Amino acid sequence: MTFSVHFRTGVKTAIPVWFAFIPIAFAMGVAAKAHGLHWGEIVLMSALVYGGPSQFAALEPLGAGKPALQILLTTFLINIRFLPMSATLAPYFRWAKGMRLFLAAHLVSPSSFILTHLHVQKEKSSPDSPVQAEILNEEGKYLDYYFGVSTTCFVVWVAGTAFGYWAALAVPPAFNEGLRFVLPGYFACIFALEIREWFLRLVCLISLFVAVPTAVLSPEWGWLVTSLVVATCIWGVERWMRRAS
Amino acid sequence: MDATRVLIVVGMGLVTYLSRVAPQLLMPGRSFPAALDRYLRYLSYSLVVSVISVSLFLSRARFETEAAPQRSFALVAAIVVALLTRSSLIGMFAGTALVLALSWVR
Repeated sequence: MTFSVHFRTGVKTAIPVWFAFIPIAFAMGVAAKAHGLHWGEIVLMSALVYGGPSQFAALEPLGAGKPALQILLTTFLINIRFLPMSATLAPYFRWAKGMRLFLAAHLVSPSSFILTHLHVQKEKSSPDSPVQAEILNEEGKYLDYYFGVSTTCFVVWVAGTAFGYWAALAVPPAFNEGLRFVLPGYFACIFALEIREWFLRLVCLISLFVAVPTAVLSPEWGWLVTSLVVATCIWGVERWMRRAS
Repeated sequence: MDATRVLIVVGMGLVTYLSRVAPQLLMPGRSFPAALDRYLRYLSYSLVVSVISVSLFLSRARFETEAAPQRSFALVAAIVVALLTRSSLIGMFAGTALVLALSWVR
C-alpha cells in the first residue's frame, strides 16, 4: 500500500495537531471514567461523534441517565458548527465518490478544516501555481492532503480517549475530585487563550454565570435554553451595533 | 456496555454526521453566510461554557455548596496560569493540582 506525496504532506502538517489532541483526548477518557461510562461507550463516542466539546457536554447527562432528547439536541446544537466548515471544504471533495465522500465528511473537524483550507489558499496564491484549470485537473490532490491530515488526527483522538480511560482506572478514589476537574478546567483554559472577540467573551461570561441557577430551576432544559437565549441576544446586539456604526 | 447509552451515542453520531455531510450533498461550492457562521460560533461556545459551569458546580441538579468555593478558586487559578504561561495544558495541571490539594485539606 502506497500513499501519495500529498497524503504524506498532510500527515506531516498534522503532527502538531496530534500533540494538541493527545491531552484533550486523554482528559476525555479520564472524565468518561469519572462519570461512570464504560470504556467501549467512550471509544465508540470518540469514533462516531469525533467532536470534543459535544462529547464533553454529553458525559454528565449520559452518566446521570438524563433524557436522550436533551443529549441529542445539545450534540446537534454544538456540532452544527461543522456545517460552515463542511460547506467550505465541499469544493475540495469533488473528487470523492461513494464511501470516500462519506468518510471525508465524517472527518471534518476544526483542525482538518483550517489546515486544508490554508494549504489550498497558499497553493493557489503561489506565483508558481498552475492556472486554475490545471489545478482542477490534478485529480484528488487536495483530497489526498485532507485525508493525510484528518485520518491521522482521528486515530490519535480515538486512541487518546481509550488510553485516558485506561489510565484513569489506575487512579485511587482520593483523586476523584481532580479527575472531575480535568476536562472542564482544560476547556476553560483553552477558551481563555483562544477567545479574542469581545462579543464572544461576553457570551462565555454570561453563560458561565447563568447556567447553574437555570439548571437548578430546570435540570433537564434550563442551561440548554439559557445558552440559546444568551447566544441569540448577544448575536442580535452585535448585528444591531454593526448596522448602527 | 449499557444498551440505552450505546443507542444514544449512535444517535449522537448520526446528528453530528448530518451537519458534516449535508453541505456535501446539498450545497457544494456555496459559501456560508458570515452572520450565521458567527451565530453558530456563539451558540457552540455558550453551550460548552454552560456545560463547564454545570459539570463543576452541580451534582444531580443540586448546587454543591461545600465544593463550589474550592472549584471556583481552582478554575480562576487555572485560567490565570494558562494566560501567564500561554499554555492551556499547564493551566489545567495547575488547577487540577490545586483542586485536589484543597479537597484533601477540607
